[in-house]
Amino acid sequence: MSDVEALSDAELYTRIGDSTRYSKRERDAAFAEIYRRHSPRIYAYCRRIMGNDASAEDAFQETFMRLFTSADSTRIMTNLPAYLLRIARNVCLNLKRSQHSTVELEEYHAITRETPYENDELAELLAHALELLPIEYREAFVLHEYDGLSYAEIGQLVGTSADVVKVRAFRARQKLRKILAPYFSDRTEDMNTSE
Amino acid sequence: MDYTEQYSEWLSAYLDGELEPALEEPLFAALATHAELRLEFSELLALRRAVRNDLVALVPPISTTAALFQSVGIGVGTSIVAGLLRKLWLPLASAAVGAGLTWLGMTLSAPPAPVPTQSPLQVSLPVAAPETTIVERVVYRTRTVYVPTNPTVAASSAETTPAQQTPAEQDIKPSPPAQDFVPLAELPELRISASPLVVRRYAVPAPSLKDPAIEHSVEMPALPAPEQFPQFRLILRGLGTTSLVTVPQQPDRGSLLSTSAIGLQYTLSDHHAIGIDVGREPFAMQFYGYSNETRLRYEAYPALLWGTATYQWRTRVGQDFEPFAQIGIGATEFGLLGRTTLGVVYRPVSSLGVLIGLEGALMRYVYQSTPYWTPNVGITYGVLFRF
Repeated sequence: MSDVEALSDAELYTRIGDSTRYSKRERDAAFAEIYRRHSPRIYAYCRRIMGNDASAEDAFQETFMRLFTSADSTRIMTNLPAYLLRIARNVCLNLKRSQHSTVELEEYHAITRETPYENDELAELLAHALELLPIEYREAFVLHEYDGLSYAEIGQLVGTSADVVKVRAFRARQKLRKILAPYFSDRTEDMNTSE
Repeated sequence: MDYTEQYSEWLSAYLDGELEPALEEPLFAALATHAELRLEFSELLALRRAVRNDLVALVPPISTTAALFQSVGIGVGTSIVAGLLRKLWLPLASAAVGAGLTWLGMTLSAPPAPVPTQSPLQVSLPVAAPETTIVERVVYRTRTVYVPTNPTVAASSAETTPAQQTPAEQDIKPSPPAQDFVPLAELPELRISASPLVVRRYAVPAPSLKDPAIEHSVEMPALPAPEQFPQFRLILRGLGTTSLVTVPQQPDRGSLLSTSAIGLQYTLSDHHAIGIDVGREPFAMQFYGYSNETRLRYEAYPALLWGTATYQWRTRVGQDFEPFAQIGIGATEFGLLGRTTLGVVYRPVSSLGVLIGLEGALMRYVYQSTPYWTPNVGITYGVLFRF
């Protein structure tokens, strides 16, 4: 185990921002370790909130760029994942505002073709069904299901109560079930046929 | 609140682990009696499972990571390239070994013997422009001289000497018989001599390739073309394999390239060849890992890029069929790979053939220090070009 793996998020964050005590190599190593720990969660958020590949990756990169450039060794970082998600959320919402709200047909096909690992049929359908949800519902669902945040944590992040988030997540699930109903009914028929 | 919606909320809370214990029993009772609620339960579970399988959203692409690290000024050479090398060293090493063996075989093997472009009979024939040869032919003829007793007859005979005849007559006509026959016993003298009568000159054209007689003489049965070594074979083939590991996902066969391979072989002799194979093929993957102290089972059926260094043994049955056995060792994007193929090539012409065979592959990969194996079996089919 390297030395940075033993450090907490707060210590790593401090190390990134302290160029007087740490060499560039040590600061780079601290950033790489933060990236290793939290990039999947941030990427999942960006990917499922933005939908589109290119803009999701833009948002993802921008999030970590901001972390790196704004690191401040005097700041006490108590919850780095939440901090990163907050940055990601701001970036995504800004990008969303500057984008069209619809997904072009060509874009849809491009997404499905360019994702070789997205081979689970339902996972692929879910990814596109998420894009049809209102942003509040989608965000609650993604932060809860993909990022594993509790309703209270989501509430803190988005500035609302845990109960509101719970309702949004519930509504998101119901809407997703409705959107994916043709898939579920086909699957039920298949199961009945095979029985 | 709607009756069904209340149960749905309880169900949602139960899945989140936030349902009050006191509500669990009524929820289970409702599940036992309401088929619609059970359906909803299974759909919510499927949604949750789909999130777990949504690997695209959970793994940032390495190109994105590289771009980010470059943009913040972190040496790509230390972390990203090292990570890439950790993943790709086996395919790269396999390709390098294959290339090295090919180069070695080409360097050490004897240069190919020159192959005549024409049959020996044709080569030995003069091909210069036809010319005229002068042949001097000396014609001998037995000449019988009758010495006549009658001077008149003798004089008459003397008037018709060969020198007075045309050359053609001299050649084909016998000497004119004596006009008056005398009994043999009465002949005073009989002299027989053989002497050159005439020298003829003929203009004889030299034989040419267009001479019908010569053309006829070179009509020999064609010799079989000799196999030349070294030689290369380019093989394009499809893979109809399936994994023996069972996962709920469908294999990624989105395009033809997801189940195909291309190989380059270098033939060392009648029975031995080496080469490299590169292809893409779905491998079912089922492995376990820990995330936030929770044991998770991961399942996927991605089409993986692979590369192998190959050795092939082959033989010949009849004029057109080549049964073969092939093994390959290499790697996929995720781990080591071994392949084996048993098949037959049908080569109706020297430079082109089709193949069909049975193919097996075994991939070994490691997740969180635990090794896993995925075997694939099926058929392969394709075409080969020899050059």
